[in-house]
Amino acid sequence: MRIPLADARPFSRQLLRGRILRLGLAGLAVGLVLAALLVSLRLDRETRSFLPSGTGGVVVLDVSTSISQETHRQIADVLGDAARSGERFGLVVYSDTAYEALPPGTPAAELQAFRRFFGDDAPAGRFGQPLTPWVRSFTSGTKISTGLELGRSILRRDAIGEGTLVLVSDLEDDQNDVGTLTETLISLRREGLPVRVVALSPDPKNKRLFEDLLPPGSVAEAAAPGSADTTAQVVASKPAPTLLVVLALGALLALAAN
Amino acid sequence: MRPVRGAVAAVLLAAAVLLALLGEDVRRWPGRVDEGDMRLAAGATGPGLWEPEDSLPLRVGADRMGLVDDLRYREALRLVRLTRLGLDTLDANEVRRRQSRAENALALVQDRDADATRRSGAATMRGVLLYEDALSTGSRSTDLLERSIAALRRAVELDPANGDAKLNLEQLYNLQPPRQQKDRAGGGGSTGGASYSRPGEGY
Repeated sequence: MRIPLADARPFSRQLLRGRILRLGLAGLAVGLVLAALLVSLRLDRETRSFLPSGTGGVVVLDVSTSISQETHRQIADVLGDAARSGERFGLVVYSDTAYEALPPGTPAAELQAFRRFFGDDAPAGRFGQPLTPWVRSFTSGTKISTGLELGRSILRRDAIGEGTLVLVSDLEDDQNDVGTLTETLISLRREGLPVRVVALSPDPKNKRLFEDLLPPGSVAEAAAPGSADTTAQVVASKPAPTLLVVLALGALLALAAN
Repeated sequence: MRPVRGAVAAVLLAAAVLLALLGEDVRRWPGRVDEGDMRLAAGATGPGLWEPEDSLPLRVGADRMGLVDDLRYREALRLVRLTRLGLDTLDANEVRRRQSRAENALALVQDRDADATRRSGAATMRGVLLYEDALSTGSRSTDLLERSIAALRRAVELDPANGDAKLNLEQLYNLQPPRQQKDRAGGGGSTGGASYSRPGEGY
């Protein structure tokens, strides 16, 4: 109910100014909320694009002896995610040496054929140890550089200019390979060939080394086995979304002022 | 009119304060770099030796000051020094990780620094570290030895007056197996070695 005031007219300018101010603040708050929404949607898309799109992605998969049963499940999750992505990948499998399991441009669904060796329903030995096709004659020490070098040579061979190497590994490297690995990463950087790492329950020291050697945001940790989304931890390894926080705070202030 | 004047005065005052703070930050940068250098010279090896320690609310930033190259080079030197510490107590993996970080930092200087002399210096140190890698690594040392030679050759290309790089390169060539030495000797002027210097001056 409105109470009519006899002397309302002298306040009409203030009333108008207050109304404009409130409308302006409301508009500002709505604008900031919309901007925050847009920023958050973009964040989501960046997270999911950790596996490269197009035909230039080569997954470099670690099947060395350092890969434990837990990390086997993580590999299953990562390969499952990649298989569902609808993209195209090549696959390099490495331990002490490396070989090309799938050429670049292979439909991602073909990765399902490899996923079955790593999941809970994978064949197991007498003591529950995973029995992959590589365990008897291929699985040995770990030389990450061999996998990356082969990935690079495959991309060169197929003349894929904008390729990406995705290393899926626990990052445990043979100590005699660290020097060669460093040189490999340096030469990949010089060639402008991006390397992304999906780390499988890595030793923090090894993870930090890769973070130091690669550009920021190149290393993501695979989620623990059983987690709904293997890319969930990618968000945690990225810098905090400062813009989103600023927009949200701005919207809050505009609402409070209103 | 008075409120408008007041508002303008307040804005100008705020701008003056901001400029004064930025000016003070700019003024302090050379001192910060010198302090960091002194700490490094005194044996400090912790991270952030050249980070500002004062509490100015505004910072221009090393990139806007054009100090990125200088700080990158210094950081590489710090990492190289780290590779010399704790060799008796650290486990082999940690020694390799330190070596790896130093090599990577030197490669960044070699690739990105604007000063050719400094790039050459970084390539020289990288060549030495790679040689050490080759010595301590077993089966793949030949590859690292070749990379070490490549880094030293690059150092000489970047700065033909870099005597350290020439000396190290000569030593490395002398350490190579006879067949590779023969290949090098037969390569003529483009293979490096003594051909980098004027005739009669050796390496």
